[in-house]
Amino acid sequence: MGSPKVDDHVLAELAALASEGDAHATQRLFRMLVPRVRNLVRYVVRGDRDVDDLAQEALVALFRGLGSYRGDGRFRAWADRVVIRSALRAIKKRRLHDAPLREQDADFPAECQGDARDSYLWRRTLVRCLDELPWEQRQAVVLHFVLDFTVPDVASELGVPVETVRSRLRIGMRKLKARFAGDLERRAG
Amino acid sequence: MRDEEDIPSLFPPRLDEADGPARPLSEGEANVLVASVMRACGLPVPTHTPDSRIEAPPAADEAGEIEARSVERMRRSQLRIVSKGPPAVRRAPPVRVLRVAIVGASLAFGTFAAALSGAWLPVVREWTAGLAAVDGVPAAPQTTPIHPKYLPKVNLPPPEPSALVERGALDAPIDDRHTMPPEPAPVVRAQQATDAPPVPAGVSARPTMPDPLAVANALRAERRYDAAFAAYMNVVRSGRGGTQGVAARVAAATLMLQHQQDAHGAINLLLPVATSDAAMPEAVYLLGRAYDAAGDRANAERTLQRFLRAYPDHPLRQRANTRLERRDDTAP
Repeated sequence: MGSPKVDDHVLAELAALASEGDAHATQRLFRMLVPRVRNLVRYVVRGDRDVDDLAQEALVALFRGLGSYRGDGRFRAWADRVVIRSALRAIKKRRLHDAPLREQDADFPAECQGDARDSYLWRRTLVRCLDELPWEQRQAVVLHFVLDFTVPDVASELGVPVETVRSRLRIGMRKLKARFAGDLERRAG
Repeated sequence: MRDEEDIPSLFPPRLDEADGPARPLSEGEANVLVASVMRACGLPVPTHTPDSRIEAPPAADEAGEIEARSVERMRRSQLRIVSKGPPAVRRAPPVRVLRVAIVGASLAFGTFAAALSGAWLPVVREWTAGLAAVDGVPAAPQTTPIHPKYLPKVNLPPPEPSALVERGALDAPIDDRHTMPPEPAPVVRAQQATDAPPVPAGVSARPTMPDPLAVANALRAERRYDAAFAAYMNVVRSGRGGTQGVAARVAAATLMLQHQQDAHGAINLLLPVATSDAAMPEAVYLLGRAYDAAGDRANAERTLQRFLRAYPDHPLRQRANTRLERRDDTAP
């Protein structure tokens, strides 16, 4: 289930305690971050099978990097960067971007009703379309549109020229729209 | 790019904690995931299983603990330790190496002194006694006293009187409910003392300006509850946000409940900070207590249950359960 919105300063405070070795604070911090981390990992990895493994690795990386968080920015933004780097590295290392897709039907929680249910189904549809994108385009699209990175930031993160990022975004979004329209038509038909 | 591609119609606005696109996890699955991450990080996995066999401590201790926990959390958050990595295991000094060093040093010095004087016997006795003392064996009584000329001459500076002894802090009464360690000695200027509440001996303060919350804590530790309450309320009225403001409210509400029997005042103080999703757990629990003290059973039950739902592994969980069970017993 999604967790209630927590103020960023609460997370930063828990992170400070966690970096001092407070196990309770670390546990609470992880519990608050798990939904966000899993969502972010799912945006970049194909299918649901490896989400929890990658989320676990990302949380470990986040814990090890807590000492480098200086408290001068939003904790979520800092954590997102750590998580996305960890996830992209793991996907590349295990060649998960080439793995065959074994998508299953989306199930949603019984408690999820109304707008929340619509939002969940919408995101599932969207990520299924993302699963069809080539790996390079998917990385650029997620970094730019989900994480709100600027184009130069995406280029820096991926180690490619800015024009390459623009090209990947343009082509990727065109494919995504086409795929999304096809998905809608298929469902309607 | 964003405008050209009409993105808002296609993408959710930003990454958030709502359900999706990852499959939602149940509470148990999330616990398992977090536990495995903590083990991978080399951390113990805290568990707080409520045990009904353990009797809840008296209310005064409970209130003190709530206050101490919230204030301690605030104090830690103020430390602003910037470049610290994950906690490292600090090794104890190697006792065996120290022993060898001490024995070696005494042997070298004794040999040198004896060679000069030709008197071997006192040196051997001294060395033997030192070796026995290092190993934890009581030294044998000396039959021949060591002449002062064999003892090393060390120029030590005259001992300075301890700052704590000077301030009489060692004679001050100790409040066993106050778990925070004393902070460094304050330097309080006369001008500041006119504006701020009086600063007692042993109160922490920075060289420039005393921390008002630390002053309030010290007053409470001295059992000057009225002055402490006024100091906490000064912090609240100053509009300080974040953890410090919440901690001051929790501490002031605790004093209202404990020493002024003003449950409604405590409720008014806690409501702004205990009703949000990101409320400090101690504030939520204390609000439930305040409702209970005010006789508002429905709200007390609702608040305590909300506390249990939101913070299922908090140390105060058992006390909240005990209060709810007690209420069930007394319900008509």
